[in-house]
Amino acid sequence: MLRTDFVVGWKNIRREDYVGYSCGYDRRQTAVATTNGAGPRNTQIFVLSPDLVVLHALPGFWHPDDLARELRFAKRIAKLWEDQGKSVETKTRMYRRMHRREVYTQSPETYARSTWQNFDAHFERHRGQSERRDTFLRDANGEPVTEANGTWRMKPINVLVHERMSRRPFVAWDDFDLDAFVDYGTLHYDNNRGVDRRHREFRGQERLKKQRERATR
Amino acid sequence: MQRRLSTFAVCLLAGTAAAQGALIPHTLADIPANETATTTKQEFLATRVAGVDLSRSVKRVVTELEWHKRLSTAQIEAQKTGKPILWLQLLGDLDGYA
Repeated sequence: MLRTDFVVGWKNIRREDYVGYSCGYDRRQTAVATTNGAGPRNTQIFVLSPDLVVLHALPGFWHPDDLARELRFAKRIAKLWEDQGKSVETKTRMYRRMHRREVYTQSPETYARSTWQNFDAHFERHRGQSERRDTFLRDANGEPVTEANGTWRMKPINVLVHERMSRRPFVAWDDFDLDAFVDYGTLHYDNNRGVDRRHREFRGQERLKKQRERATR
Repeated sequence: MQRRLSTFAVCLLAGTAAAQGALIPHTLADIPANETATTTKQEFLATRVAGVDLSRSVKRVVTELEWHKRLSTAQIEAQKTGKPILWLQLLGDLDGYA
């Protein structure tokens, strides 16, 4: 699908303001699997139209099956955007409906792979004490749903991503608020740590992280 | 009747959630789950790729696709072909070096 249906490109975002923090690895070190949407500030996958409108975006890593489904979804959004016979208002309405339908038709496997990393959930629950977050499931009164142990229940990442995208219909690439879109979980993400026991620290990233922490205090 | 009532309750709940700002109302009752899905996930999370397998996978991704390093050149090709652009942003390089 990537070869036939997309033009592909990539960029190293090491120097961008929104990037997270990790440790450094070389090419031969072990690759590990993780959950959908993990490491949102360190990896982002965008699908853009030829006129550079953001059709879909996925923060973090995604399981191959889920990625393939999301890319098929993005192709349907691309078709909608290209449709000359519909007004922008109609397209926006359809766009939101498509996101909603997508969330309600994804498989139990996708939902299982879209649970939160414990450290990210912990960080979010902490943030949720002092600010309104869109990362929790809420009941009819808008109160967070609680787990059996009393902690707030996290919204599955697949739902969170579609919900955030549904609020950003056909946004131009230059206007896309990436900082807010990838804002969930911790800044630091490093699932390889302890696998190979070989990594190097990013001193620049460490400094950046400390600066941001000071700024948000 | 009971089923109809519960469907009504879910719709009502979803409507209320929407009114509270969630564009995709999603309640606990709507989240699909089963044991097989959880087991499949656990198996996947245990995946480790290293050595020759890793080199092959990386080589496939890097060499079998024609990656643009500038969005402007990707856009020119997209305009010629009418295809959407898949634009990947990474902390590190495409071949796994970070």
